[in-house]
Amino acid sequence: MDRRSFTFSALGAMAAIPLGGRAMAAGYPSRTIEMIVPYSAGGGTDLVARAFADIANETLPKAIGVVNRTGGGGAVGLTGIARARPNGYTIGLGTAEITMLPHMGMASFKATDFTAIAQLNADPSAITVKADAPWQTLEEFVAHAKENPGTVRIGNSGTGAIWHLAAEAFGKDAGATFNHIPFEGAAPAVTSLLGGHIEAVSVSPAEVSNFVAAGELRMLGVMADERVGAFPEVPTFREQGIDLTVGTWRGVLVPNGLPDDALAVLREVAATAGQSEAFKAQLAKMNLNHAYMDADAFQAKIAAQDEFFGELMGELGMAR
Amino acid sequence: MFDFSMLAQGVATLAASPMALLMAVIGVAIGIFIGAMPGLTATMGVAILLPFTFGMDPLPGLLLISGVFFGGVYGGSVTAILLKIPGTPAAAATAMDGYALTEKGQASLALGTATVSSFLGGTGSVLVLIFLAPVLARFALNFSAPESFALAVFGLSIISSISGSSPVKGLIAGMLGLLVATIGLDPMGGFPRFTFGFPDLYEVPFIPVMIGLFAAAEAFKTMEDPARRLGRAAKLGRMVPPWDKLRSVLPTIGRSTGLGVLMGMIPGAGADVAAFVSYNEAKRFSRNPENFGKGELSGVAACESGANACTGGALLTMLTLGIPGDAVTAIMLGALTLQGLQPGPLLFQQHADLVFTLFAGMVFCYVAMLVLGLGLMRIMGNVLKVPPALLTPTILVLCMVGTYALNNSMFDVGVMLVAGVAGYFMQKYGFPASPVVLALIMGPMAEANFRRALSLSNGSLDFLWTRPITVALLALALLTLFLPVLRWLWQMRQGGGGARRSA
Amino acid sequence: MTDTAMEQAVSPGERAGTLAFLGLVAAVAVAAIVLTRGFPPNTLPTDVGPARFPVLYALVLIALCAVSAVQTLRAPGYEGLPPVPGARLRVALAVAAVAAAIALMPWLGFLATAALFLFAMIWLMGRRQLVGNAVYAAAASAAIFLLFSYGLNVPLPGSALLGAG
Repeated sequence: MDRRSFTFSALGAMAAIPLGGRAMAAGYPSRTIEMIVPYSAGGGTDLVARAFADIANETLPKAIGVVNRTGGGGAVGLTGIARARPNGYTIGLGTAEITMLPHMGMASFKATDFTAIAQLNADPSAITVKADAPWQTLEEFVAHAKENPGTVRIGNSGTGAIWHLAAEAFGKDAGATFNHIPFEGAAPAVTSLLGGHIEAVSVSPAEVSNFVAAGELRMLGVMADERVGAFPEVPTFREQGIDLTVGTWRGVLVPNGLPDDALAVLREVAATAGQSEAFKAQLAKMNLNHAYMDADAFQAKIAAQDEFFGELMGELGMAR
Repeated sequence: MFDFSMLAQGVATLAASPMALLMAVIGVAIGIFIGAMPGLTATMGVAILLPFTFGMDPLPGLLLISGVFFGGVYGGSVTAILLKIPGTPAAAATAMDGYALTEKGQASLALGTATVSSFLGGTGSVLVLIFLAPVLARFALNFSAPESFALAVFGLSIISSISGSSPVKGLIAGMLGLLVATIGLDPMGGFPRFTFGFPDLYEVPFIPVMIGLFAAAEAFKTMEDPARRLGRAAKLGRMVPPWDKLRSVLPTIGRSTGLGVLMGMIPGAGADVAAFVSYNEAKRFSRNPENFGKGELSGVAACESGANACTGGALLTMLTLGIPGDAVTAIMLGALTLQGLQPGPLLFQQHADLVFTLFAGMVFCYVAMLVLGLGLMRIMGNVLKVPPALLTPTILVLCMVGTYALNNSMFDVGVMLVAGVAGYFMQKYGFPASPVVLALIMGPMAEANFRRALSLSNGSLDFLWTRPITVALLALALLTLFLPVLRWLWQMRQGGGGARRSA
Repeated sequence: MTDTAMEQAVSPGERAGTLAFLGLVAAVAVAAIVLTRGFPPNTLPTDVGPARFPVLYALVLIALCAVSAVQTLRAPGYEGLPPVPGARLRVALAVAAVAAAIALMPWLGFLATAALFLFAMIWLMGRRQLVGNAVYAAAASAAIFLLFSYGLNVPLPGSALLGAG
């Protein structure tokens, strides 16, 4: 599918000599690697992929090319990664959705269909309210929600998306009933909060950082193990008595069954590029949280998350 | 009080940076090209060029992207007018009267008017951005789900004014579009509707359907009689439209520019909505509304000035609030962030010098678009001289490639073909295609926002009559919907049984 | 008024075709309603559920089809223009050619498929300069390929049969 060998095969077609097969004989990678991004160009996932590819290409003998395959809340592109020929020439930038979509019957793959290369970034969910709202702490917010069940509206980026599940898990753990409002992505949800049409949003700190800095919104807590670097004054949920960590992650994934030499090369490249200062700087510019994790830890995390979301969705009646 | 010295300084800074000026021109050129190709949209162009701006200074980088944005919105009109291939959804509105003018042999008049209208609408909107940004900054926040729902209903009511001679057939086309628009994930519950197990159908394949309905259907029609050549062979005349023609459409351009800026500011509504709304209002205010759809120049002027005026409005909301109103400004938001400029309330205070230089650069982008557009018109017009035997097959290949390029998906190309066949038969039996496009734009917006509004109000329908903007928009929708229907009923009574074919 | 009447007049072929089209649209609407019966009920207490809007649209569509069918039956007739010989066959072949191109592209790759498609279509359009057509087909495919692959960074399908998978 890549361009170079494509030109070869086209020449081959004219001369009736199959040149394409020869490329496979040499060491990996002998031609361009295609990296599938399941979300649209210009979005957060796409920017992470392009920043990673740019830096990885400095060490790889053949370039990684980014290809966006959008649709189905990521299902189309993620299916493309899972079903790709396992030869190392199609890799992907996967997201937390691989542990969620299968439980909702929205994907033909399972989380176990992917082999982990490296996690690059992770962002927790955060509960953010308007700056002029009466609640200063998570506790006050929960108390208000318990007194007025079903009237506190929390905006998320779409039903079944990570921020929706984060808010649902929050409601379950805190013992409060929220009114969950799905939007077409995080930005419209934040807009609605700014306009005072909802009470809170459950999207990541990066997606509200502008407005928190400008004093328009206030972050009550983050669902992470540690406080977030950009907002050291915002406490975690655990510090406020709710033991909950939910967040999205982005990392390099490949289909199962890759040759060992290709796996080794990819993991090495990902370790170098993923931990480089240049990559960290790019993520910081985008307000994204750098969180490198090697293949084994990443694979274990995927398995644990898969179990967590499977159970949560079962309890919420969202599993199909 | 507006600080003119800031603006003067911005102009001076811009004039002193040839790199920025060059990037603006390059951006506009790339934008026009991308906009003109079926399937390639301004969004995609901006996304492709974004990585190239990482290494640039903020000003040239941002002007490159602005140029692609502006050029992309305008470029769609070129192929819409010459070949009835709307390169962008907004140009589907332009195609209605633009292609009718080409068939009359007035392609150069239509192209020239489209170019000048785009320039005036776009420049006007940037001027609004420069002078009124602080005043209008918080307008977008008034738009919650009920308002967006009402706007979508108003948009849908426009079907009645773009239905041509048979309102019923237009409504059927619109309803069919609405039904097609429900394909995909249910906006509230995420349940896959009518997808038959294909994840490719989780989102409505809007652009493939549009390319099929217009471009592929037209190509199939040409196959009926390959020798037929219409008035298309007419040579292109002068580039700048004559003053008396321009003067007659100036009020339309002014009104459409205002509407375009408003639509641009509203999150979720973009150039496509602006083009159709402007067309509708131009027709409402026209002395000869019956001429619309048959080659009315002010129809072209309305769509193009409205669509381009959207750019300034969308940028206004994005820059002042940090809220992206559509996909293009979402990417631009990313570009600004990467350049270390956080759009939002603080941008104008912390980076006023750069902001005003950027504004001056945007006006320059539109001037570049006017010059390039008028200059390239002759070259682009040559496409009409290509023999249909070569042109039609090439168009079909471009339809396939453009559709594929959207999402690297062969499935979408199949959708395009199905839509092309449907469009061919619709055209053959007098069902207009543009209501389908309008319904595909507005349908998901109407449903998602109605249901979201219902959730926001905890299940009460009060939002329909307690919110002023919602009420006003819904009233406007009723007016738009029933005026032509009443007019048509009245005409039917007058014409009555005496109607005969007299040709 | 004559203008409107003229636009409403239909030839026998148009009348039959319009009615068939309306029937098809109505059938699609009925099928949509049947399919919505399998949709889950609303998951949120304040929602109308996923089936409400499609059913509403489909019902209105069926009603409109009925109105249009009556209008079509009552419209004044005229003899119509004589059809261009072979029109239907050419359109059908063009549709088939696009379908074939879609099916073949993953196997032959973009370049070969597009060149073959162009050559066949130009022939179908009645231009019979075999050498010139072939040159144009090859050149246009190559130009589009280069433009998308290198200019726009969109990799077009490669060939599965000829390696490079």
